[in-house]
Amino acid sequence: MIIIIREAIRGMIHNKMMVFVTIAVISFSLIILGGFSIFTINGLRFINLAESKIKIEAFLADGLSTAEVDSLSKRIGNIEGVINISYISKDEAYKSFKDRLGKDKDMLEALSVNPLPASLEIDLDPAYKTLENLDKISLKVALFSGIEDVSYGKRWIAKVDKIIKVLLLADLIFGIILLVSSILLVTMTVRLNVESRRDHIDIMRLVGATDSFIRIPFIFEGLIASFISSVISASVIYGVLFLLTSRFKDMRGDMNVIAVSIFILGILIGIIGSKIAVDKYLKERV
Amino acid sequence: MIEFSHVYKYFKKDWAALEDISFKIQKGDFVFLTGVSGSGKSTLLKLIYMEEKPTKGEVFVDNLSSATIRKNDIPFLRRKIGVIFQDFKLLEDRNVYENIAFGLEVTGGSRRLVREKTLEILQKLRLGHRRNAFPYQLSGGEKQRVAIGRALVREPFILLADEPTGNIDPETSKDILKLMKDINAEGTAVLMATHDIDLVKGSGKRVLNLEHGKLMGDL
Ligand SMILES: Nc1ncnc2c1ncn2[C@@H]1O[C@H](COP(=O)(O)OP(=O)(O)O)[C@@H](O)[C@H]1O
Ligand SMILES: [Mg+2]
Repeated sequence: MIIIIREAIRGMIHNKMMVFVTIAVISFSLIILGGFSIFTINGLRFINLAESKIKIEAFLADGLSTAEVDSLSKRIGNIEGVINISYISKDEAYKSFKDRLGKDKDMLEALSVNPLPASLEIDLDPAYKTLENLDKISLKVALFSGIEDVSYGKRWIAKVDKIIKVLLLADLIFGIILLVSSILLVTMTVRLNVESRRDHIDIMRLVGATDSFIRIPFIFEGLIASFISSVISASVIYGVLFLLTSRFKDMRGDMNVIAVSIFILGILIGIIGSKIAVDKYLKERV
Repeated sequence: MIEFSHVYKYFKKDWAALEDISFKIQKGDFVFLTGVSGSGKSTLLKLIYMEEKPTKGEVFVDNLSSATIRKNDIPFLRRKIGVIFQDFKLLEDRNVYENIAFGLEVTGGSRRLVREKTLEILQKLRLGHRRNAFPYQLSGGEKQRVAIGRALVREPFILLADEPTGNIDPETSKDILKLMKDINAEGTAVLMATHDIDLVKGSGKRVLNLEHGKLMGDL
């Protein structure tokens, strides 16, 4: 064991340049991967945020009694997927509309009567916020007597739905490409390292070292290099996240999770890359 | 202990690097392997330490057969064979002591054993005073002695030498040959490939002579 560690450290000292390149390559890959996952996580959060705002609005006929509204709410509440219903009275609707108008509120005040209907805001379980379910539930709601009209911004949702699907697919593909190319890049770098020490390996073989003995120092080196790279890139990502989250409140990163994942991923990439590279060399010759 | 039985080696179709080679080497033998460059000497040696396998026929080394040996067993076979080359194949970033110790370390000897054996070899090869020198500081003859040291430190039953004097002046070559004979006198078999007829002449040793991959004489 002592010999193996010593061999690995000797190897690294002997190949300072190669070690430096390996560390730079792994760090670079990891930082890109980390940045990408922050982007993805925040994108998903944004989508969630947008989805949580999706609600069905059911406009009520004028002149319903409180009892009638209550019974309507109860019956709508029994529909599968509905998790919450809140009543917006005519006055509340008027007030919030006026607030939204801001400067143009004179226009509304010019009217002597309140033209806005009372409504029920129907909140759905997130799993039911698909175009299909929204359609189905709205249709059911619209059939109750006392409901004048139902709306949920169908066209807008259809569009967003499509964009999200495309973005998620692109994100997934890009993520896989990034991961695979990081492993390839590391493998290639380690492979160069192995090539630059082929004499060394050949001599080890000549004196009867087993393949596993030859392999271990290289994998150990890969481990050390990827450990250093992981520390570097996790720190960079942690730092960037820290800056971003303190500046933009809405931006979140689950900083520890990302930093730890990057760290673990980096070490895995280092070990897998080294093993692939050495094994390939060992297999080519006897 | 080493036997070639109708061995053929083809690197290309219909062109044999070695053709129908059969011979035996017994424990403690000293044998020269001669032939011009390209006649197949290195290939024959590689078949013994199993860097190459015969295309046809069978090579037996110390009860192991080229036909049945598994890849995982080859390192263990090599621990019983010492090999040296024209270009020495030393580790340039290690000193004399470390180069010799390397032969034992990579096969997992204990620290004490490695130390004792290495010092013993250094003394035997009269390299004790050069133990901290690096290969670039050594003469050709010294480098070859280090390579021999690395090969012997595991106490192999045979020493294979592939033109060990190829990069060394004639005077020093005689020293190296003398060293090989001393090693042989202590019981290690030696198979030495060379195209230097002057070294072979009058040595009174057995000579396997290769011509175009065929064994033309076993004198
Ligand atoms: N790995 C190889 N691939 C193809 N041809 C080879 C290989 N090794 C040796 N040869 C050929 O086999 C012949 C014998 O080579 P070698 O055994 O090195 O001869 P020597 O050591 O006597 O000079 C040469 O013609 C050489 O080109
Ligand atoms: Mg040769």
